[in-house]
Amino acid sequence: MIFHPSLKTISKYLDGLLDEKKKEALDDHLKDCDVCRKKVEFLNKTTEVFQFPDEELRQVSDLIMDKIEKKHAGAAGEYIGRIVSVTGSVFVNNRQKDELQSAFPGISVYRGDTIITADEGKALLALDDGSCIYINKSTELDFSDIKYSAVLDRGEFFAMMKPQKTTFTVNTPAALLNVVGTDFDTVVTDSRETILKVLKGEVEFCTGSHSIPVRRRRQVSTIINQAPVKEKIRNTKSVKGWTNGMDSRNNGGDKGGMFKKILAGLITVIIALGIYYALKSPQTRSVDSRQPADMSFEELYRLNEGEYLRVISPPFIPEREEYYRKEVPYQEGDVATSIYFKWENDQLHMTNRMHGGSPTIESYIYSTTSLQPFRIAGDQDILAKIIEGDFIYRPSVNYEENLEALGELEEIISKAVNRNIRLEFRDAPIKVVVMGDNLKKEYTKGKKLEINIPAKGRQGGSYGGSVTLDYMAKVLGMITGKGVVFDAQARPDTIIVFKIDYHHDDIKKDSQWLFDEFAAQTGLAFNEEERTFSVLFVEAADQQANVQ
Amino acid sequence: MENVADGRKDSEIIRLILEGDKEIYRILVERYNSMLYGYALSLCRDHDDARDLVQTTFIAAYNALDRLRDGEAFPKWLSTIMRNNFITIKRKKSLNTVPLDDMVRKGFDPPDEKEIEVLDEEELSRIRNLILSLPEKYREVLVLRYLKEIPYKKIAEFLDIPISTVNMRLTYARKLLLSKAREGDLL
Repeated sequence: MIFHPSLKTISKYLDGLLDEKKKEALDDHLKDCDVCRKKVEFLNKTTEVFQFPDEELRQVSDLIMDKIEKKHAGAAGEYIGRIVSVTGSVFVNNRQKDELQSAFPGISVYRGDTIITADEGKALLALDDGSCIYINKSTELDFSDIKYSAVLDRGEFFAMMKPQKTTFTVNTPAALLNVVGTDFDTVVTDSRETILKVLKGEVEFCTGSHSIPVRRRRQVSTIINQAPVKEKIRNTKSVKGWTNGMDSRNNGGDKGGMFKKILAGLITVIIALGIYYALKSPQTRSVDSRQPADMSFEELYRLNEGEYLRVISPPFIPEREEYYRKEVPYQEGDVATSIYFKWENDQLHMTNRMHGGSPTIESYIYSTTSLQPFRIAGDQDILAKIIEGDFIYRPSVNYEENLEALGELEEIISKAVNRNIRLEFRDAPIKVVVMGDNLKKEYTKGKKLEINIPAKGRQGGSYGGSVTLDYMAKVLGMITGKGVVFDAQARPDTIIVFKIDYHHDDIKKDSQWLFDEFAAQTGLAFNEEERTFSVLFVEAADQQANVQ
Repeated sequence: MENVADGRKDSEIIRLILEGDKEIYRILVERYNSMLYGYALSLCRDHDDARDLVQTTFIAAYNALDRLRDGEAFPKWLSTIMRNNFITIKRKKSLNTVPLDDMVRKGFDPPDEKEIEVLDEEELSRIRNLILSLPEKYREVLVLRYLKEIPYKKIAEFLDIPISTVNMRLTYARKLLLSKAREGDLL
C-alpha cells in the first residue's frame, strides 16, 4: 500500500521548507508516484505564471522616485494645501513643468498648480490655513502664482474660507471677486457667465465698471461687458447640494482626522464659486434648443432635472469617440453604433453598447426601463422598428407609477416611428418560467452559491456576476428571451455567483439545456406557468381607439 | 528582498525622509515593491492596473508619511493604503469586474471582452486565471508567495496575519488549485 504525502507536505516542499531527510523521501516518492508527481508538476507550473522581471520592478521604482522628486522641485512654489477627497477623474496640472498628474486623496497642491476635474470628477481641497474648497465637475481652478489668488476658468467651486489676513481674490472671465471672510459659491457658465452666490459674510464683486458688495443669501451674475444682475437666493441648500457626501468619502490614509479638525475650525466663511450650466436654468430643458453639433459632450450627454430619457441621434459629435476610447481602451475597431448610458448621481455611466446596428423599439424599452422583455407587448410591427442613436436613461424609475416618465418614453417612441404611439400598463396573462424553491440543502443561509455553466455548442457571449436569486431570474430571462420569474417563497437574498457561457442566437432557439443545467447545479426547479402580470402595451394611438 | 542589503530599519529610514532626505524613499520602494505588486495583482488581476496601483500607493504613502505613527508598521500601512485605493478605483471604474448593469442584453456585445479573450488563451493564462479566480484570502498569499518567493514571515507582516495562517492558506490555496485544475481538465 502506498502512502501519499499530504498536501501540506507538498506545499512545504514547493516552498523549500522541508528538512533534508523529508525532502529526499518525497523526491523518492515522486519518482515512483505518477499521481503526486503530476500534482507537483502542475503546482510548479502555477509558480511560473507570475513572473515579474527585476528590470521592470526597477523601472517602476524609477518612475515613482521621479514623480516624487518632481514634486519637490515644484515645492519651491509654495504649499497651498492637500486634496483630501476625490470622486471620478481629477488631475493636478503644473503649468511650469507642464505635467499632468492624477489626483488622489493626500496629494499636495502647490502654487502654480491647476486642479482640473473631468465631467464626472469632484475634489475637496483642504488649504493649509484650514479653509476648504469643494471643486465641482468640469472645473479648472488655477492657483496662480500670486499669493491668495485663484483663477476660475470654467466650472464651479464652493469655498468655506477661514478669515483671511489678506484678501483672497478669485478671477473669472467676467469678474474679480475679493473675499475677506465669507461663505460663497461661484459659477462660470458655459456662456462665460459668472455667478456668485454668497451664503455667509461678504464678497466684493468687481467688473470693469462696477463694484458690488454681495452679502449673505444674495447672488450676482454677469457676462463680460454687461451690467451685473443681483438677486436673492431662494434655496440656499441647492447652492451646495452637489458637495453632499464629499467629505465622508475615503480619505486615503487620513481616516478623516485632519478633515474633522478643519471642519471644527471652520465657522466663518463659505465661498462657492462656479462656472456651470445647470444652475443657470434648473427648470428649462430648452437649453438644448441649439444644434447638438454646437453643444459640448457634457451638455449633450446628460439628463437635466426632471428629464428621464434622452435620445441623441446621429451624426454624433466627435467628442463621443474620445469618451468611448477612454471608457473601453481595450476595444479596438470602430466605435459602437449605439450606446446606452445611465444617468445616476449626476454622472454618466456607459452601460451597454451595440456594434454595427441599432436596437429595436422593444429592446430600447426594456433596456431603459428595466422591464423584463416578457412584460412588453403590443403591436409587433412597432416593437420591431429600429431606433437610432445613443440613449441616456435614469435607472430605477417605475414607469408604471411615474406618468411623466412614461410620457417621455411615449414621445420618444412616437418620434422614432413617426406615428402617435400610446403606452399603457394593463394586466395580462403571460406564460412564464417560474424558478421555484428547492435550493440544495448545502446552501444554507448566508452561503454563496457558485454556478458555472459552460456553453452548449458554440460560444459567443458570457454573462457573469454576483447577484441575488431574485435578480438571477431576470438575468436568465434576459439571456433566454423568456419570461423568468422568481418564486418569492424561496430565499431571494441568497447570493449567487455565476458565469454562464452561451451563444446569443442558439440560446434563443433552445434554452432548455440552460435551465436543466441550472437546476442540476442549484436544485431549483423551473416550471412553466401562466400568471397575470402588469404588461406595458405599445400601440398606435388610433389602433387602440379601435380596440376599445 | 533585494534591498535588504541596506540594513536600516523602516522606521529609521522614514525618520530620515521626514528630516529631509527624500531620496532614500527609494530604499523603501525597492524593499516593498515586489510585495506590493503581488498584492496589487491579486486585487486587480491585471498587470497594467496592478502597476498603476503600485505607483499610486507608493506616492500616496510618501505624501502621507508624516502621519504614520509607527514606522515599523510601514508594510502593513502600505497594504492598507493600497486596499483603500483599490476600492476607490474599483468603485469608479470597476477594474476588470463585471458590474450588473453592464451585463449582456439581447443582441449586444458581451461587455467584458477581457474575460472572453482569456478563455481563448493557452494553458499558462488559464492557470493564471485559475489562481486569480481563487477567493481573495487564498489568492493574495499565493500571488505574494509566487511572485518573488517572499518569505512567510514577510507575508504575515504585510497582511497582518499570523505566520501559521499564511502556511494554512497556502496549503489550502494549492488544494483549491488542484481541484479546480481537475475540473478544468488542466490536470
